[in-house]
Amino acid sequence: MLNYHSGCEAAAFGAWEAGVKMLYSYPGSPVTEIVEVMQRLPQVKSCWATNEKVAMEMAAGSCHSGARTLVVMKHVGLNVAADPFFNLAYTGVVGGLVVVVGDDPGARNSQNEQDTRLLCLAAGVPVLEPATVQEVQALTRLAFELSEQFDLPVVLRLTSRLCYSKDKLERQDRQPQDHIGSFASPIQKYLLLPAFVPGCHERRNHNLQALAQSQIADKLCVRTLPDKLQSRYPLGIISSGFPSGVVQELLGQDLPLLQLQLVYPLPQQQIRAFAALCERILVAEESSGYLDQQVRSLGIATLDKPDYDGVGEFSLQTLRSEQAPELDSFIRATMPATIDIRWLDNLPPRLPGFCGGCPHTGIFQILRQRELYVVGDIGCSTLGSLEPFSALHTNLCMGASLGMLQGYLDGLGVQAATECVAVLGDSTFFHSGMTGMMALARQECHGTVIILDNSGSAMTGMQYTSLSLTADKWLALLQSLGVVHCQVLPSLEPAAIERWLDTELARPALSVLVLKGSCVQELNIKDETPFRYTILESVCTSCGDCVKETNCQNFEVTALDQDQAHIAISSSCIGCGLCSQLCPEQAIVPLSVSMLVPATGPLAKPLARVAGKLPWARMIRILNQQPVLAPWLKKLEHRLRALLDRRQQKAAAAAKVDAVQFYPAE
Amino acid sequence: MRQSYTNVVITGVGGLGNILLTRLTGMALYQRHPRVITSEERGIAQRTGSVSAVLRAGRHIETSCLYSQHTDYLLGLEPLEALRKLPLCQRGTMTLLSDLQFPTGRSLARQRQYPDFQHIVQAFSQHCALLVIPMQQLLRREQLADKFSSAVMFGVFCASYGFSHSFAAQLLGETVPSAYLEPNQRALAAGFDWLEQQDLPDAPEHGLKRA
Repeated sequence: MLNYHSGCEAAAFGAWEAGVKMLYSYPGSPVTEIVEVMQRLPQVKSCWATNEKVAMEMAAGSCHSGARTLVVMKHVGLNVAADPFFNLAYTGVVGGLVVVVGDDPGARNSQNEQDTRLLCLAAGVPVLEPATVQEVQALTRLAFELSEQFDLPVVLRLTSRLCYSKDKLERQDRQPQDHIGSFASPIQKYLLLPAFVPGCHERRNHNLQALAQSQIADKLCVRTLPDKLQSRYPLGIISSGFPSGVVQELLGQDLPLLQLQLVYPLPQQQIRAFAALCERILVAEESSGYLDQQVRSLGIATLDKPDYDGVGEFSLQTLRSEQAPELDSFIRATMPATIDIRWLDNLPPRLPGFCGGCPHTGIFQILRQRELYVVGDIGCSTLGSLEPFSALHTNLCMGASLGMLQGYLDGLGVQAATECVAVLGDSTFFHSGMTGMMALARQECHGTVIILDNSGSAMTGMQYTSLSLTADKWLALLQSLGVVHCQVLPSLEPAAIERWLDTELARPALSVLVLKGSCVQELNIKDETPFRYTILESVCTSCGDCVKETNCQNFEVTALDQDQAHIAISSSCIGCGLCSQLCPEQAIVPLSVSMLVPATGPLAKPLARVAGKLPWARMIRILNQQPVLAPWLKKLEHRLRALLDRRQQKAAAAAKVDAVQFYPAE
Repeated sequence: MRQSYTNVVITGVGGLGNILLTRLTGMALYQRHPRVITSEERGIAQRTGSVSAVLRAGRHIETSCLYSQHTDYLLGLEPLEALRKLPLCQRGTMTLLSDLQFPTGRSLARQRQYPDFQHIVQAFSQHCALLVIPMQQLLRREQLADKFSSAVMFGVFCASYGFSHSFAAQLLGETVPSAYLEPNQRALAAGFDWLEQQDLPDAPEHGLKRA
């Protein structure tokens, strides 16, 4: 089988080959896959931590015991872990410690575009920046060597583009690690008392300088010169990370290039030698002007780039400089073609949305109808901000919704408590929301909080970062934090949620509602799911409310943009039953039930009305909880479905495929 | 220089199997090229948002970014999403376009309208070669869910690129878990056989059925 792997896989393989023993992480795009890959590899213990700070602290203990340790997080996660991260540069390591950080230029999956290199500069932690998938693997291996040799944690900075790129990899054998662990000593190095801090600081600076002046640092510069060798070139480009590949392919034949794999501390000698070869130097990078500023700090003048502001992913257009007119022709050639179709600029956007059947969509419809101001958080729940819900108005960072709610009520007065709620997921609550909740209880906040519990971190693909709590345990936990008015409800009970909100929004006290619902990613949705729903056409008025109110992706709207769309439910329906509870005509019933209702004839409409009135979603949920009845119910459902499948097979066999539509280029 | 590359753009909606299609296509292109680099859009976009990927195959490639280079194939799993990539198409581009449409949330609210499918076809046919795949009918005939579009598309691509069915099936077998292999194999065969049965004109510039 072809060794064709992503940047994330390359990082996991590189660490495994280096003999890593422990991996700690909190999930976050684009680096979640590293952990998922490592979990499939032997001889490594991989753990999801409650948050990035805990992950970094676990990694500190592990590497201080002598084990090679990997800790993985996204860029904003490093902010959460900044406290132990900065201090680890002072204590140093025993076993190698590599921190893989996933930056997100373009912010496709994040709340900002911050540049990890700047944080590492402040912390005094070396940074390696690979440009290709192969370099990810090689530099991850090397990072462990550097960490142990220079007694520092080492950061491997990846970006979304690199994490989600794939290339061919050569796997290597795992290095044997037979280090016998022990508790770290002396205290002058591992105990950060004020008396020891200056010594630790001096040692960190010394280690950084030693790395910058080492032969390894020199080797972490890749210099390529054009075929036509000259003693001095008119223009040279210094780059690092993903932009290096673009520059190499598009400009490498014409210009001398210096790719830096070690971006902090900078290999000064190599940079000065390269600059001496070139009359002018241009820096190609993304996210910030970090590299440009660092090169300038060496006394090397670099060209101004007026179009570059660090926003978005790297593009050759950001290299435009009045002092380098020879680049203009290259840049022009990379501009996309102009298509002379006016309506192409006015296409409807396709925004991401909740998964079809997500049990936590209904709450956003309720919040929107109540016109509440929703202080949101990070995770799947942010999707509640998008149409058709538009029911999430602000967010900041993990767990911030609770503190922000308190602040709003302080700023606006307690009467605002009836107009706003805070909403966050369970993983976010355990990550850093619990401390906020304690503060709210301590301050006797009058706010209302809704926790959407699916027992995991769903936005990143469902990782289990904290405990899965039963209703009783939720109540015990909240009460121990000081919350008096708390309740746990199934998330698919809109009527009960409405009643709770009626009561608690008016209550002058802190109220917390936990909505429990399983993430659809836990279901085997590739198989046929039982209790799928369907629309009874004899009573459906095609009003489209089911689509608008749930935004469920399992609706098939076959007549687009019409006043009365024709709506069906696809075979991907997972049977949550939310739409059946929201349909004003009560026209949505389980598929198996629909088979008992005639599609035409005098009885079609009356029977459909009767069938639609029954609370199927609730009945199925209650029956499924009965250990004796549930298997019988499923068996009956399967038999009815098998009958339906046979009917559909007959119809499908008779279907014909249209003639080919082929249009050669004009 | 142009002949040394094959550049493929894949586009669709999250949940249709874009990542599987990208992986399969990349593995297939390794049969003809020494290096293949792909770049995918993942994360939040997979939540039914616009998803795209770029595959670049050749000897002297260093990046998965597609700038001025020629797009050889556009594999459109969803017409509107394919239309967004029209500026990447040139005269020699071969677009394989699924007719399976997914409305955007806004289009139901009559804001910006989902374009008429025939207008999409017209726009493509003015700029590049276009083959419309009757995806809806093929899936219905095989009783397969929409998410198997990617395997159908891979079958059409392999047939058009001159890969054998057995080779395509082998790649599928190496990639897809055994529990889901059978429906994917049916989808692959449906796409492959459909293109093989078409009596298409012999026009080397669009690359169809080139050996």
